[in-house]
Amino acid sequence: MIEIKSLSKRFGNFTAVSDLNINIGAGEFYGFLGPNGAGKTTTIKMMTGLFSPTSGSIKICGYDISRNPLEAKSTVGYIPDQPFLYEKLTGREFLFFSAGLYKVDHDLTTRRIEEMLYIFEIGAWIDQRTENYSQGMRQRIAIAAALLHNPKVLIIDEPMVGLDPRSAHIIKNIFKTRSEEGVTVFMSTHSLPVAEELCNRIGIVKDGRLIFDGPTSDILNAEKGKDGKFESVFLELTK
Amino acid sequence: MNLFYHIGYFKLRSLLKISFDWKFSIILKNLASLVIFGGFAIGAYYATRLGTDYLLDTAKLGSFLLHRFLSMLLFVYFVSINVGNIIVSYATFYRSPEMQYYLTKPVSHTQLFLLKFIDNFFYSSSAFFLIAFAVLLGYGSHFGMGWIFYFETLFFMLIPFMLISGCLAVIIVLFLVRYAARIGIKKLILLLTILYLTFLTGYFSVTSPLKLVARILQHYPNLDQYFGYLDPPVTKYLPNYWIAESLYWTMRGEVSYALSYKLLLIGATILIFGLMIYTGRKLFYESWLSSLEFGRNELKNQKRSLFLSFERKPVFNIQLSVMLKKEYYQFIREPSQWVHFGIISLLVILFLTSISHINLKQNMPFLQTVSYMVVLMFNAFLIISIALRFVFPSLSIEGKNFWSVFSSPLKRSKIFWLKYLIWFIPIIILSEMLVIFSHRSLIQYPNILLSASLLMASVAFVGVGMNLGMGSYFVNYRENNPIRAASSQSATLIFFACIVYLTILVSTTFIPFNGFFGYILKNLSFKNEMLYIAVGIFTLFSFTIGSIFLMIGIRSMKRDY
Repeated sequence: MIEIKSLSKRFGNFTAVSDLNINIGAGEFYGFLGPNGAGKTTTIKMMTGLFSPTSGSIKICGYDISRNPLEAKSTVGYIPDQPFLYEKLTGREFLFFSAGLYKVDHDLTTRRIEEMLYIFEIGAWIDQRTENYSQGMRQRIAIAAALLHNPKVLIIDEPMVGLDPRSAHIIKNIFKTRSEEGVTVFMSTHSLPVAEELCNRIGIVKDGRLIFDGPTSDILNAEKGKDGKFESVFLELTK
Repeated sequence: MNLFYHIGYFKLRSLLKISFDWKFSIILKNLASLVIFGGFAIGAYYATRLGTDYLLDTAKLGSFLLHRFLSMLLFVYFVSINVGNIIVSYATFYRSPEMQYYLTKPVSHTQLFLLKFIDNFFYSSSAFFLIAFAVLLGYGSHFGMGWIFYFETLFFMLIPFMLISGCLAVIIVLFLVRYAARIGIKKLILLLTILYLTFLTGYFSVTSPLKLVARILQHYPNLDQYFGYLDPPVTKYLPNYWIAESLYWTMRGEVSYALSYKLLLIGATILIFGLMIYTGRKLFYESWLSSLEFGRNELKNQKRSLFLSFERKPVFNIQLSVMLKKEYYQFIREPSQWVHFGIISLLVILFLTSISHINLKQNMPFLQTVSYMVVLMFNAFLIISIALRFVFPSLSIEGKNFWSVFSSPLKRSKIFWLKYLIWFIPIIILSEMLVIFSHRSLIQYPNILLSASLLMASVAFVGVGMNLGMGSYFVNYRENNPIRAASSQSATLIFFACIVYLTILVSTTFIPFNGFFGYILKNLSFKNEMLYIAVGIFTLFSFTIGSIFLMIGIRSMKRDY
């Protein structure tokens, strides 16, 4: 579903991502880990068409993001690290707006929004302008917006930032369910327990290069040889 | 005061770093700024120098009348700075995330207020200052003044004059925001607009330039004497009068008279500045807290347009439909957008009403051409100003929310064209309305109507194209405040570029229009083709320029977000 080949991104003399190669199949939950400034967000921005690669290619559901951007983007639901929403729109209006961008039928959108209100417990404040929302409320709206068009691939950047335990619980359940339904999830996170809990495969990136890529079980086995903590393995790899 | 200097030092460092970044786009912007700002300053210098030479040496207008005209121009200048500062200070004091950050730090509110005032004053008045200094050089060079005159005028007259205007603007904004929650923002803005219009109309009806000229010309040829008894008493309390009087007496070598007006101006500046600090100390924090309530109050009274409701089924392409609805709500729910739009609409209505009464038919072909070109330029200037205020920031105001559109299956060029059409359609309609209203006395000449219509359509095309294209090239997603985006250095640069474009319009069409009016008024020989060719060349030039800017805009949209 996601095929990243020899992907590089340079900003002037600085190389943010270097020769990245990743293949992710349908229904896989891929955790993309790395220290700050490792190139996670840059990679995600290239996958969602916000940045253009300096070299290499990204294929999503068989569509090259540079050559067939519209087809590739149609299959993706993107959740950014900072859920900036149009402040003058209400949550409901933002959901209609997002669905419209993906050409979702109007009646279907209305029904799906009702479902989202229930799943994300956002009914109480859905008709308020998003400028009055807390970080958690914004995050829930951004996630609901990303799911409205039933994407085959979910690309998520730091989903748990600023969420209270209840919101985090709701969101983790949604991602798990979607993955079980066959949706491919590509998630960048700093939270090692979240990665450990949700992902069945993990990639660790450092200085723009992929230094580990394998099933989560490999890391869990490696833990046993150390002090039993995922954190220690991560720190060792990214030293 | 240490924290005041500490914050000021880092703000200055950050400004210098941004201004002197060695990125290609920044270097290009700085070079273009240098060329255009420099060109504009040189143009203003020569225009003032030649104008003063003409009025005093050729037309023998007399220095009293010259300084009364100067006083009126300074009044307009005062009002422009005041309005600019009112608009920008609301954004800098109440809408800036920087202020939220500082308010959480142990810095006194008065120091923050003063810092932001300085920031605001230089941000919104720097272009005015450049023009004023160039005009001052042009004026002084006619009289052969030395550097002490420029130094004194600049630091003891021009800057205090601008400070009075800026301080008054901030005092108005403080009261406006503080009491908006109690009285209602819409009512207060309406009241302020009415007061402003009354003040403007009152000033020009009291000073009445036409009556003044007629009364002074009765003394022809002895026009170089002092006619101070003709001045309406109320105008003597205005700072523009003090500057005009001071300059007048300086030119006549009466230094003591000139000095008294300078002292009056400096005294008034200190008084108003002190009053502003006092008002800021009393009202700034309270008004800042009140401003937080604006959005919430609007929410309670929120009315949804049924026609443009997101819940209504779209009648055409769903992507375009939701984009249009988003644009509408973003505009109508942002006070800085609709308030400014309301004020401009009011001014446009006033302008349309007054130009429809202008009789453009004169007896002298040259005078006819000059008055015709002045009206045409006013129309064009209005279009350019609207484009700058609303079109230039239209991409920047998307801010960090644009991820949702850029990551969706909607072509970036489509987003650009949608923005273009949203503004081009109303602006071209307005430009054609201006042609119809301003040509009522020339309605029997279809060729001139057609020419004006084509010229104004060209101005609309270039105005929107240049502002959207360059708004895309210089896009700043961190500056999502439309007012600050429209008064940024890049926006000022584009504004001056538009002025250069209007100068090209005048130089291309002045001679053919003059020939045409010579033909219809004095039956002088003229071929209509001359007018058509000039208009055709200008239209073609505009189409090329506008298209180039649009292409730059589309290319810029495809850059990394």
